[in-house]
Parts: sequence; structure tokens; C-alpha cells
Amino acid sequence: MNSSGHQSSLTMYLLVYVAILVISALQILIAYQNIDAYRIFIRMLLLAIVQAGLAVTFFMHMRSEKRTLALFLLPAAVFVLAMMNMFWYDSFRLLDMRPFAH
Amino acid sequence: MSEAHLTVGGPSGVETQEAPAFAISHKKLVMWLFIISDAITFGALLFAYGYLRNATTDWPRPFETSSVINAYAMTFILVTSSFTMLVAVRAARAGDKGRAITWSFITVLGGLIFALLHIKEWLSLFGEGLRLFANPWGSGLFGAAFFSITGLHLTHVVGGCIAITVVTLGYKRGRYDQGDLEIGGLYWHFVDLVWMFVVPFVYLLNIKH
Amino acid sequence: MGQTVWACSIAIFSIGQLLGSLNFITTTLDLRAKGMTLMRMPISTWAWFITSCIGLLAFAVLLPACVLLILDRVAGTSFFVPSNLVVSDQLITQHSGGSPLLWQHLFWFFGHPEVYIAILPAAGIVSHILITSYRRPLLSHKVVIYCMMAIGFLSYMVWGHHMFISGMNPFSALVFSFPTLVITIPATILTLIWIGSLYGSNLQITSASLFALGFISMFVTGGISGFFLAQPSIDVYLHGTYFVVGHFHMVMGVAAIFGMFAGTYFWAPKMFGRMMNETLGKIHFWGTFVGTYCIFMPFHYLGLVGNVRRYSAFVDDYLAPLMPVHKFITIAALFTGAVQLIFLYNLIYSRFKGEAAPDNPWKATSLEWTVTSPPPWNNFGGKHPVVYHDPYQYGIESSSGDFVMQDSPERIQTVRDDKKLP
Ligand code: HEM
Ligand SMILES: [Cu+2]
Repeated sequence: MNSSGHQSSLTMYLLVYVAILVISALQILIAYQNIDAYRIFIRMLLLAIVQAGLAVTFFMHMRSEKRTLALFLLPAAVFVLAMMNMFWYDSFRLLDMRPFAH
Repeated sequence: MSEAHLTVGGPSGVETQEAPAFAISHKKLVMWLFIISDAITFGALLFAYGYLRNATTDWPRPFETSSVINAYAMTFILVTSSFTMLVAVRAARAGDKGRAITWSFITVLGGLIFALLHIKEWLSLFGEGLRLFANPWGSGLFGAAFFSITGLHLTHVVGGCIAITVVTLGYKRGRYDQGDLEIGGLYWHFVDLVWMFVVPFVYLLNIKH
Repeated sequence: MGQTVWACSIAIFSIGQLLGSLNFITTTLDLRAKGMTLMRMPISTWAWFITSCIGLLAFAVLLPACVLLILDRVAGTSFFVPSNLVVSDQLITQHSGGSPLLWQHLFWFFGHPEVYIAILPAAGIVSHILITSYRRPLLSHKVVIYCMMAIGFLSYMVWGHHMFISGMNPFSALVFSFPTLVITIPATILTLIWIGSLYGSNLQITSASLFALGFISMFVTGGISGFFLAQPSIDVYLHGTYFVVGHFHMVMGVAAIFGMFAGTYFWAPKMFGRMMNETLGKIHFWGTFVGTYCIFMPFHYLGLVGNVRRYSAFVDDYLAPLMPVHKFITIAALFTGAVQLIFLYNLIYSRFKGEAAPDNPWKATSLEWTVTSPPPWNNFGGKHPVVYHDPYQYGIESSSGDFVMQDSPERIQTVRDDKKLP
């Protein structure tokens, strides 16, 4: 049944493990940098996506499943989360419209 | 296995059923679907948090360096426990039952340490005056968002510890097989994955400058 | 208190729906009879599958939204309650800083996919029943499935059309209006296929097929009013009026229920082993069909003249002249409600005293009609059906008449008569 996925060697797991921890440390470095919040956020997001990608591909063995499984599942989640970006316009707008903010 | 009544072959052993769509066991498919849906649940929470944060002028940034170190320690523990879970699943696949059970329990131990560190963190914030909807630094929404996101994650960790313990014990008694252990691992890696988003957005974007 | 209980029940309901969707998707993908490829599944099964996929992703958003709402109500947080809110002439002081718009976003992000969760199973049932009563396949089996998928996909892009005048950014209104109009395209294609397939059909009038045709009528009526609501400029006027109430009662209310009635008349013989009374069924249909139009068509008129929704009484203001319309609607509603008693009587009476049902009363092709009515324990009685054909082999010549069952190994003899079927 789960015949695939045997190939992942311990060394591979170890490499991914170290990579994830290094990226986490990198995020902390970025957090203490003196750049504006938006840039910090974008960098954090990209790094977190890389981490998640590593975890899904190697730890969760997406690499050795049938390609169709990934094509069925991942676009659905990414699409739905991407649509939620329409929220942002209103979050900033609320700030401008706030009667007693200024 | 328990699904025997669903997958029996005909009298002559001919296939009676179409092959599963993705060539994985249906339990694993269920876990994957659950993960997708749970990812969206966490995503929606994080979006709600980001929305409120954008819309709030006095959003506090209370985390001291000690909190960040603690968060990194928690990341370390959780990712390590993911790794030990991989070792356990590998051992189970190789048929080494004893090793698989040991490493699964090490994973659960990692989860428990994570939960303890988390509660310690909560308590120290509580000591600084953070409440669910009040704090000495600014908008009360901070506590609400912080506790609901990390609380939901903590619930997942505790649930995962219980689930993996149950599956491992069942595996020991032969009630579950290595496939089930792997599915427990799948969930565990997902909990890890969520944490990778919680740390930067909930902790690192709110550090004291 | 009541609202807190409501929020809790919705949260539990979300969890239930999520688990149900997991079950449906996995069963559909992993537990098909030999030969039942995905494209050989009946449209009703496809509709359930697509519905479950939508539900899996949509309820995942409702769940945290409800949890936050419950926290707001019982734990004193303020995710959704803004500052300076006045309720019943009292300033709310213990909550501040939240955003009601956030609640609307989270709710409608789920809410619009939900309306398709409500209508797609009915659309699937109706397609299935229509094919059986037309005695011919639909113009295209595949296009119906693709349209349903397209509707499912687009349903995540349009939730903002419920929020045009919520104070949302006007730019977003524009962005949401476009996909809302686009979603009418697959919906229209579905309708055109259902109606177009009537050509060259050999329509059997039964209670089930009447309700299925009635579904199309309701779906079209509600879809057309949806078209109006989808344009922000018109919706500014129509939002919050009876026009919206008319719109969604036509589609989500009546159309979905017509799908259920059609399904009940169609499958009751299989479930209970007894036929339902056709005459009573037809009386029920005409009563309900005329009745619901009498109720909900005037709603559109009321909305256009400015009758707002969610008021308990319209007596002493500018709406007073509309009272006769409201009275008419009330009478029509009482009448339609009474007609449902016929259905209830029919269901209970035929459950016990109805004519015994043959295995395949509608000469249908799908697998459930190959077993006895009611089905044996374990659905197929321990046997494993094998599927040889597409689900809708109608309008052909075969040993069993004008159709070939899915599990019949018979070769399809004649190519379909081109003159009869365009
Ligand atoms: C042709 C496709 C459709 C379009 C373009 C459409 C468009 C709209 C729009 C723009 C609104 C918001 C009106 C307002 O609040 O001002 C609305 C409301 C609504 N629609 Fe549709 N709709 C369509 C199909 C459906 C279907 C198939 C269903 C259900 C099965 C449905 C159920 C609802 C419901 C329940 C509401 C009312 C929500 C409330 O309480 O405010 N719609 N529709
Ligand atoms: Cu909608």
C-alpha cells in the first residue's frame, strides 16, 4: 500500500531538519533588523512558506506520493487562502474611517 | 486490518473494486483531507489576526528577548519531535517494532515538553499582566488573538500527543499497523508546519524594539 | 444566551459537516465498484462529491469564525464588536476595537460556497431524474460535471457580493461583482443543457420529473434576480429589501426543496419497497408550484418598491399601502403549507399501504436499481456489482427495452438514432 517513500534516507531527513531550524533562526535575525514592518512581514512569510514546503515535500512524503494527490490537495488550499487576501483592503480602510482615530 | 470487509476480493480473488484514486490507503487520504481543511482553519484565524492588527492603532509589541528564545526552543523541540517521528515510522517500515515504539514515545515526550514550555510562557505573560482581553501595553485584542491562535495550536499538540500514544499502544498490541503510525506522523508534521507560521507572525512581529 | 447557544450549535455543525465531507470524498474516490470509473459515476454522485469538496474548504472557515464569536460572547473578547457601539440606547463599554466587517468577511467567505452546497446536490438529483424521465442522455454528461466544478471553484471568489453596502472598500465591490456575473455562465449552461435535452426526448410525466422540471423553473427565476443583485449599483438599492428575500427563497429555499421532493418521489420505492401515490404526488406538485410562485414572486415586487426585510410589522409607515400584498402572501403561504400535508400523508400512507414496488420502477440504469426494493442488507447483499457502461444508456435498443443498466454486460447494439437525438 505505502510502498513508495522508502527511499527517503535518514541523511535526507537530517538535512531538511537542519534547514528548517536554520530558517527559523534566520527569521529571528530578520525580526531584529531595522526595516519597516511590511518588509519584515514579507520576508517572514516567504521563509515560512519555504519551511512549510520542505515539511510537506520531505517530512510528509508528498515527494513520493502520486503527483495527482498533490495536484488534488495543494491547489485547493492555496487557492482558498489566496482568496482571503481580499480582506486586507478593508482592514486598512477601517483605520482611515475610524471616527476618533485622528 | 479493520477495513477488511471493504476490500475483500471475490471468491476467486478477483478485484471487486476500482483501485483507490491516489494509490494510498483511504485512512491516509482522510488524514490529508483533514490537514487541508485544518490548514484553512488556521489560515482563517491568522487572517483574522492580521486584519485586526492592521486595523488597530495601539497594537502592543510586548515580547522580550527571553520570549523569543523560548519560542525558538519550542520550535527546536517540535521540529525535533517531528524528526523522531520520522525515525519511528522508518523503523516500523523496516519491521523493527521495538525501535518504532521507543521513538514514537520519544515523539510524544517532545510534544509534552513543548506543551510545558508553552504553558510556562503563558504563565509568565500572565504574570506581566496579559489577560484574554486586557493588558498593560495597548489594545486588548492582542491577548485575544494571541491566546486563541496559540491556544488552538496547543490543543492540536495535546490532541496529537494523545493520538500518537493511542496509536503506538495499539501498534504494540497489533491493533494498528505501520500505516496507521505513518498517518499519526502525518498529523504531527502538520502541527509542526502550523507552528512555523505561528512563530514569525504571532511572536516575531510583536517583539519589543 | 440564545445566540451563544446558536453559535455553539453552528460550530458543532461545522465539525459535523467537515467530518461528513471527509467521509464523502474518500468514499467516492476509494470505494467504487469495479468498472465504475469517475466519469461513469451518475451526475447525482458527482454533485455530492463536488459539494463535499466545497464543504471541506468552506466550513473550515466558519468554524474559527464561530469560535471567535463565542469568545466574544462568553469570554469578553472583542474580535467583532467595534468601539462606541450603542445597543438599545446603551453605550457598550466592555467591548472595543473589533471589526464587524471582519465577521462579515469570515461569514460570507463561508456563506457563498454554502449556497452552492445547498443547491448542487439538488441539481445533481434533478439531472439524474431528468435523464431517466427524458429517456435520453443529456446533451453532454461531461459539461454538466465541468459546470458544477466551475461553480464550485468560482463560489470562493464572490462572497463580497453580500457585502456591497457593508462599508466594504468600493474597489472590492468591483472585484466581487465580476466573478459573480461570471458564475452565472456555468449556471446558465447547466440550465440550457437541462432544457435543451428535452428536444428529442420521450418525457415521462411523473411526480419526480414534475418536481425536477419545477426545480429548473425556480432555479432560473432565482438566478435572474441574482443577476440584478450582482451589480453593486443596483444592489445599493435592493440590498436589505424583500427582493433579496425573494431571490434566495427561490433558489436556496424552493429550488433546493424541489430537488429533495423529486428525490423522495424517485427513490422512495427503493427505500421502502412501496410506490408513492402518483395522483397525490401530482396534486402536491401543482399546489406547491403555484403556491410558491404566489408567495415569492410578490416578494420581488415588494423589494422593488422598497419594502425592507427583517421588520416585524409594516403597519404605520410608508409601507402600510403594501399590506394587501402581504395579506395575499400570507394566504398563499398558508395554502402552500397545507399542500405539504398531502405529501406527508402520501409518504406515511404509502410507506405502509402503498403498492409494492418492483426492483426498477422507472426503468433506470444506475446500480441501486439492480437490487431488490428495499435493498438487501449490505446494499448489494454481499455481491460485488461490476460496471460496464456510462451511467445514462437511454434511447437505444436493447434486450431490456430502451435502456441498458450499468452492470449489464450487454454490448450496446445500435448507435443512437441520429434523427431522434440531436
Ligand atoms: C445566478 C447565480 C446567483 C447570483 C448572481 C447571485 C447573487 C446574489 C447576490 C448579489 C446577493 C446579495 C444580495 C444582497 O444582500 O443585497 C445574493 C443573496 C443571496 N443568494 Fe444569491 N445569487 C445566485 C445564486 C444563488 C443560489 C443558487 C443560491 C442558493 C442556493 C443563492 C442564495 C442566496 C442567499 C441565501 C442570499 C441571501 C443572503 C442574505 O441573507 O443576505 N444565490 N445572491
Ligand atoms: Cu452569494
